Amino acid sequence: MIGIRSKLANHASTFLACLFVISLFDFLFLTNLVQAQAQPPATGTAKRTIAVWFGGTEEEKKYGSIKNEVELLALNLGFSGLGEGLLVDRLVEGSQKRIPAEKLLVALKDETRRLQSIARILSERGLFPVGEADGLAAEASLLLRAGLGESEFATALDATAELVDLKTPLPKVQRVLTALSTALAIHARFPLEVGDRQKLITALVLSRIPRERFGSLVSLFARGKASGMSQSRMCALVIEYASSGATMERIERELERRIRTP
Amino acid sequence: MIHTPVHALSFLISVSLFGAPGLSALEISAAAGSAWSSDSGPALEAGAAIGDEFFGRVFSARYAGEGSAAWYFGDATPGMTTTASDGFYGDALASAEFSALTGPLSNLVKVYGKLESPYPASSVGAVVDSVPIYSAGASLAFVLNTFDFSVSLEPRLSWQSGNSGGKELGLNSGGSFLAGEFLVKPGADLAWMEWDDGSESLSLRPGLGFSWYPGFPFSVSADSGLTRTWLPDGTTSDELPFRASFYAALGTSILVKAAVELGIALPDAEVVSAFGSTEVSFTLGRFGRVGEGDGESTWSGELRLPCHFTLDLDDGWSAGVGLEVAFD
Repeated sequence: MIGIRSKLANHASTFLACLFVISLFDFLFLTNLVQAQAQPPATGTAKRTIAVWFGGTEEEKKYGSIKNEVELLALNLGFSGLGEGLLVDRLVEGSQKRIPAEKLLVALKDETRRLQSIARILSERGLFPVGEADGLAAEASLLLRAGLGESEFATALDATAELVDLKTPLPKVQRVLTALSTALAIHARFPLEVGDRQKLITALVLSRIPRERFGSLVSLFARGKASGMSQSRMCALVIEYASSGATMERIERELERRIRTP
Repeated sequence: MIHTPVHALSFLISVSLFGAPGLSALEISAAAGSAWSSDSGPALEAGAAIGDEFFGRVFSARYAGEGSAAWYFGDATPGMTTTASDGFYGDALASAEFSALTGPLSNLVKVYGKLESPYPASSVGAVVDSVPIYSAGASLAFVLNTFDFSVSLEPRLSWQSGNSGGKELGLNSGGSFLAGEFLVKPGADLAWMEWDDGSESLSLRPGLGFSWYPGFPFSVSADSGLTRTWLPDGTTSDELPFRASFYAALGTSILVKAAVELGIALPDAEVVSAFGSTEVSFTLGRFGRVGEGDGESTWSGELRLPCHFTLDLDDGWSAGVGLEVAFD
């Protein structure tokens, strides 16, 4: 009896320790989307201008050949109401990764096009937060680079028309971006059909769940999947209860009820 | 979601009972594998399950059925008091739930039935006590959900046949609220039990549980409480049960589930029951068909390789590996 007890304790503790280390590794290196959501792009350089960045010593030498074109991109970005600091962030990122100037320019052109699309989509819906748009645009751009479609972004923003409690564009767009990153983080682990993903995003945007709690759904999906539920059923469950005004407690309770067998 | 004759039948039942459902989620799975345990030796196992759920505007319904069978090749078969050279063991479970959601208050009616039937192999071994065990139950839940907390009251009635059979009448009350990333769940359970041999008991279990959902694919739940049991002769016994479970998704294809359960008798703090289990499931492949528009056939499936290991204070250890295919 004592031998089995000792074995049980040893095996359980060793196994849980291994799982904890693996999970920590997994969290630190594989959960890019959640990390990206938790840590938006660096803003320390947001107020640096392109002229100042290229005026630096090393950067001027390595990337001086693309300075004029980058300044032109920044001008175009300015017409969309976005600051050139967004491009400076990418310049810093590219130079730190030692990306050649020509390749970096291509990436900057892509980024500018993405940011302009984001600004257009926000403006068309009266959701462009003047003076506060750079951070949101950077976050949205990150999601588009992670695989989000522009149409999905636009559809999610359309749902905010029903968010009557939120008066200004900033909290509405922040809620949408958090819902999008949560859905993408779930999709990255447990692939969802496009239609289900869109319904999930809309349900989250319109739910009573505080956006700070959206991330918990990734954990909830992991629990449901590890207990044998399919992701489409999990998704249907969350959509249904989030749409009917349920809180996280209620959704968790419903999940537990389905996992438990009589 | 599957668009098959089974799904069509489910859809019709739902429509006839509850009107047009908003969403439905059908799942079908089948599994087969081998296992080895210190108690009963090698075995082959197979099982299948089906479940469907309909969400209407006010009413929702869920039903599930599953069955499993195992062939033991060792010297003993679970549930049998004499040795059999080999044997067959099977069980079947059916359950149904109906719930109504009206504003913050929801009501839930749940009924279930279960059959566990150990049978001897047709021509090998003499087996006694291979009588099937039936169990059934029903519960009614009243749940009040507010923005800050949730409370519930759930009376239940259950019955089980067999040597350790009897009736149970219980009342569970509980609540839950968020504290940071933790969901805290205080609760209490009162149960009166009458066994078929005439003995009775009354037990009360106040307890506290929590779940942690940190925002990445990892989750921990644990609960404990003090169970006091009163017997008709006036004696009482106290036990401290403890349960903890852990869930994680590693990468895109590995799912992990681990659980530990302990029963500690008081006041001597003696461990009277201990159980630990782990399951690691590898997703070998995903397949399916996505329709182009609404109403078009859409289904998906997964092929998984689940591996499990359990340790039990009374039954020893068991380990198994198999293949599971699931459609939804």
